[in-house]
Amino acid sequence: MIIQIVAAFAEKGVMATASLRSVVHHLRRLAGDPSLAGAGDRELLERFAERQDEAAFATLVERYGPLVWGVCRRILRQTQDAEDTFQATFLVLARKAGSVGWRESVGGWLYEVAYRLASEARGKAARRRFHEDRARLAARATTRSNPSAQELSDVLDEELQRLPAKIRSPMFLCYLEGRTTDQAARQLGCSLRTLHRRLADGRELLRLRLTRRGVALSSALLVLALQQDLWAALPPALFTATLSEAAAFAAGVTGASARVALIAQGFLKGMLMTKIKLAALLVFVLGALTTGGIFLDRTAQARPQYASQAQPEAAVARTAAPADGAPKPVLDVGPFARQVWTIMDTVSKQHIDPCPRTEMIVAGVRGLRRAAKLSIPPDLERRAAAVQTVEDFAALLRHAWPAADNSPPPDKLEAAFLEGLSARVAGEVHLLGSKDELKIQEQISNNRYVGTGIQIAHNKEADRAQIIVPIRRGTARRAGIKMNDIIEQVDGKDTKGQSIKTIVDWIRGEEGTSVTLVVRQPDAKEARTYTLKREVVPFDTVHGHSRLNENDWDYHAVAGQPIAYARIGTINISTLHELRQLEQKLKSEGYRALVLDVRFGSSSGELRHAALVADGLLDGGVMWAYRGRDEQSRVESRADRECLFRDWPIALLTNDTMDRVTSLVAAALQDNGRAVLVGEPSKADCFINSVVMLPDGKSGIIFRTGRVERAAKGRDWPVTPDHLVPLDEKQKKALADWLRAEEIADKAPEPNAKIPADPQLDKAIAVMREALQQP
Amino acid sequence: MAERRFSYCILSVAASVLCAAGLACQARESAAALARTPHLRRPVALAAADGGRWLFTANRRSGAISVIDTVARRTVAEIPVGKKLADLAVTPDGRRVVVVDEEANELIVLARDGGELRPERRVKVATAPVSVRISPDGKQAFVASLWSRRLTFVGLETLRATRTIDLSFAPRKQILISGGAKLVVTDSFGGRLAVVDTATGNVESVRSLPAHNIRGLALSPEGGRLVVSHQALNPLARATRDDIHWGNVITNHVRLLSLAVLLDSKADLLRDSELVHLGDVGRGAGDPAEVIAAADGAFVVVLSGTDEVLVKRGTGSAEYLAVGRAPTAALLTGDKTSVYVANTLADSVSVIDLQTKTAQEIVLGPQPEITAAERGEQLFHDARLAHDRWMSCQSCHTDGHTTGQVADTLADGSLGTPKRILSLHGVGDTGPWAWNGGMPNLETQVRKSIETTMHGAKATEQQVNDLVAFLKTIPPAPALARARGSVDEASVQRGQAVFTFHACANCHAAPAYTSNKTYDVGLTDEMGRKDFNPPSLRGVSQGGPYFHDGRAVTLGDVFSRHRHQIKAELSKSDLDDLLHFLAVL
Repeated sequence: MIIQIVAAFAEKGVMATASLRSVVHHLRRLAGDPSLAGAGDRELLERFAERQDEAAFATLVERYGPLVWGVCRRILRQTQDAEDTFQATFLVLARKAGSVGWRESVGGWLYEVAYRLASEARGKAARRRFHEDRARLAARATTRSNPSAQELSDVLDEELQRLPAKIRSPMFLCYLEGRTTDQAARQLGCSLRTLHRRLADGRELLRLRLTRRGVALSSALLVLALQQDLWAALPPALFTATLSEAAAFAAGVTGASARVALIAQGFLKGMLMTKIKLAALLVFVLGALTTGGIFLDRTAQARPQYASQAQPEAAVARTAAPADGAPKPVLDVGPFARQVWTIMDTVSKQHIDPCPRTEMIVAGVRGLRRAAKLSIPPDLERRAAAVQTVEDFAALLRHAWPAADNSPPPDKLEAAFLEGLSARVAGEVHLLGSKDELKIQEQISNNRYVGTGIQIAHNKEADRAQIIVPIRRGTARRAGIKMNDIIEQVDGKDTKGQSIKTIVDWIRGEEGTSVTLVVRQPDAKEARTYTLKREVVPFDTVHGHSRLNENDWDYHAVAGQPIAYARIGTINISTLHELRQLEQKLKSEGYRALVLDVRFGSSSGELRHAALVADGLLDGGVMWAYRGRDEQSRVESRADRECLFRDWPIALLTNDTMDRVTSLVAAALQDNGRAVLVGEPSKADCFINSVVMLPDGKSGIIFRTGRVERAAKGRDWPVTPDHLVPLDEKQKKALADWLRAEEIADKAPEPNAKIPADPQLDKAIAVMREALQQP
Repeated sequence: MAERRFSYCILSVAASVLCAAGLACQARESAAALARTPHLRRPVALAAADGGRWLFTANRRSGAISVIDTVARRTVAEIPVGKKLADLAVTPDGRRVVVVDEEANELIVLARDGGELRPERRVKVATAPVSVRISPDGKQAFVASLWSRRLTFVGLETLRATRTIDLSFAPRKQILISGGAKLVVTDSFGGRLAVVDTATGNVESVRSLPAHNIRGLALSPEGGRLVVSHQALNPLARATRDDIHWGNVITNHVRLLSLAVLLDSKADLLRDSELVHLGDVGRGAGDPAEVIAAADGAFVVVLSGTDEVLVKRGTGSAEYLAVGRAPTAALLTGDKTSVYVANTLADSVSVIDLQTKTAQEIVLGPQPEITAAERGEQLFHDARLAHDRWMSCQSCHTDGHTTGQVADTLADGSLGTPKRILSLHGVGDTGPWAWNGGMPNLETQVRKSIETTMHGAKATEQQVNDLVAFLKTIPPAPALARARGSVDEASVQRGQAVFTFHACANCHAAPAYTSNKTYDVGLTDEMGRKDFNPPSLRGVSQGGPYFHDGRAVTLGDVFSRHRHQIKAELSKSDLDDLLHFLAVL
């Protein structure tokens, strides 16, 4: 049904776009530059701002008009309001065109402005249209389980806005604005791996939330809906009206519609007053938030990195010199074919549930042809089935490869092939990141990150990096770097306009080397200069309940009771050590029971770190069993008898944010009767991914090589709590925000701060109280 | 060796003088002279008499007892009494000192007069006695013997061995509890612990601690707890620099056990117990040895690997005091204000004032130039060879033997494939080395262990050569049947025939019962590796568990459960003979 809806929208879009195109084309001709169609958003805005190039602005309205109009139409039925809002949105864009800090694409920004303007307009008109709205809501409630395109889009609008900014931005870029993941990662200043993870998280979160609202969509259909359902055909009259309004508004002249200008001005005023939010682009200079793991949870590993690593020289080398001096080079696919052959071979031999080679080839070629916008050869499957040797495969690849002219560059095509192949394999196949990235990842996983110990984000106003937190025990903090310091220079290089990623690259370096930062508090006249030695900055992975000061926590789960609360924020190599320290501390402070919170945590992604933590907490017993590809090989992991917090009752707080590593620990504690689980079920499945190095010894791939079975008979994945205590999304978010804020060492003490309600903790305390009363 | 011969010479001269003339003053002079002679002593145990006025050390290397005047704080005499002293104790009445000689297999009873000691009687005990304790009434001595895995009870009135008890493990430390009614004996290498009734000689329980290298036993001052110092090795961790750094691989501990639980042979030994971690990230506390439980809840733990004494109060702060090289034994003074520490590889005793936290060193005598092997011995016990001093070679190859555990190191070429720690007894003749036989010479293996297992600084050529020189001095471990004197020659001959019939010698060829190739014997490690170098079978009866991953708990299991390279069915009697043959190798 959904597919039909999508088709209907697409059809409408095509018609409308045709008529718009002629207007824009006309304008472009007038401007004497037909190349505008291919220009980036930022470039178009600059042209509009600097040269009052209306054709440039028209191109933007053409590009995103249908998206903005879609929002306006959905939220504001009444045409006049919708049209006003549509125009106001573009007026805001026109006025802001000259400001700095635009991203490469503005679709997401426009969508958000339109949504907010439209929501405000609806609010104002609410009383007037009370009955109408109620009828609409009622209608929606009854049709939830079988949504129309309208309902789907409405729900999507709301849920998109509710997504955390960190996830929303990549979703907008990739799905609404059609950027490639490479482009999106560059714009967001994050790694491809992070981007893919966020996209996967976003899809999953959105899908779940939609499901909760009665709209069941697969991830693929969801993406399709994002790409198409939210767009609506733009009436040509509105288009031309908007262009003339925008030009006038940008120049400070009131145009025909004072009403529209008023809306836009009101919005702009609000923007100035809103403190610029930094959260959207939080990036650890330390990368702690941006990394996945080595063995588990590599679910969103960036595939195109394979391509991005290719050196330009290498790409040239693969292009054979034209024999007759003709300008059409013939691509030598041989090296790529050999590499893919090795990957397929490795996957076939070691994947827990390998996919036949023929299918991998077909999926890869399909990906390749799609990327080149070419049809799939009708005899592809037959040809793929006939492939016996790497030479056969290279021949097939040569046949399928698009001609060099007019096709995407070879690295893109290779990435598309691998992406297609990967998607066909259960659990996907991921390529290892770059060497540098792996090094950083290894440092973080081993909790010996080398750096200065600052977390930075982009500050839009200053268009520079700003320090969010100088990390406890970091060299920057010791030197006197403060929260909110704006970084002006790194080793003499100006940071103005530089992406976070670039600045992170500048700041990072080898242990023992130094970096000089020039920083300034936002309102200060004087800049300060610090030369910082890069050193190992250990992160805390275990936290208490509320922070007393930089080094101490209050561990009380509840006042006046010997029940401690501790939270494992991350499971990595040092977590066991920190739990040991915690045990000594809690014992000396007279606690006798422990509520251990593993909600909202992350991990290194390594199975063995789960083993170390579970092993430390258990008093012997089987933690879990690992089954590789060979069904006969079942290896039990046994705990020794260290048993931290021996003789104490333990409650473990769980929910669906737990990753596989954390879920494994929870399962092992539950199956051995070591802890009572309170909260919500996890989502993690039982599969284990491994890094497998390819025969060249330099590159590696990650894929599903095994699964874990639970120690207790009859128990399966996901982990379900012994006491189910659900939280609604609002409670969950409030709690997660509060817990994370407490992690920040600089957090100003707020004696009267309101701690968010936590019914899961309350239940755990009740369970612990009862356990303590038992003899 | 020269100085050793010299010391024997002095010893025999001293002995003959005593016997012939009985002139006390001559003996006194020769003992004082010996104390002034440059030679190696290696004190391994301490005992005090006359309210702490006199302190005695049992010297492993010189076979003598050094006498320290604690008031003058100097060594006044060195009395030659045997070959290789391992432990000593003073009777409750203070009139006698008993000492065990590991090489002569004797308990030597000495009459004491102030700082003067006179050998009174030598009593044969089970092979390789390593510790001695005396009952509170002074009527019995309890001797634990390492390689024979036996306890010998000796009546101190009759001066005769009254009872011999077989143990299932090689014992070392002992402590008397329940007013002397029970004796606790612990494993020299692994984590086993036995409770023995001193009246009946019954072994009431043998249980295991998650531990190895148990080197200190003490009673808490209030008497309710047994304090045990030991190490622990986590097979789930990898011997990478990072895992060692965060204390995931080897950890150093004091464990407090409830005496009530200890005495209840059916109880889980760890119930109501507490584990204290010694050291911290950045500062490991490698190889804890003797432990003293002071009155105010403080522990004093001797750290053999770091040449320190750790004073730790409850869960609070820890203080580290530097002492001499490789300290092992410790003794609390009667007034509980000071602790004496025997610095084994420095030939000295440190006196630590617990109030001022200061240490003073008393030398036992002048030192000769030490040889490469002796330098190697110091390195073997030195945790500074490892990252942050979490461990030394000794931590896994206890006294050159093995803790019997598995460790995940790069020694076999990969991580994720934990392998059983091999004994180093007789290691000089068992090349190639490592489970995969990948090490053509011992030097390479030693270097690899330091750099990729212990993750210390790059080893110098001299360090490697010294360590190898030391390793080559370690003889094969004595066979259990020989150590117990229970060899049945007929059974050995039949066992040898079984060994020959099954072509065991193809891989385990005499004289070292190994060979220099690798073989696929149907065992596979986690990486799918099937070819292993056969470990030497000399002293195999002292090893265990068996195979690369320790899957066979006993030597019997190797054949009956795992059917290791058996060509035809083994009858019960064939198996018994084969096992007996292996027990004499």
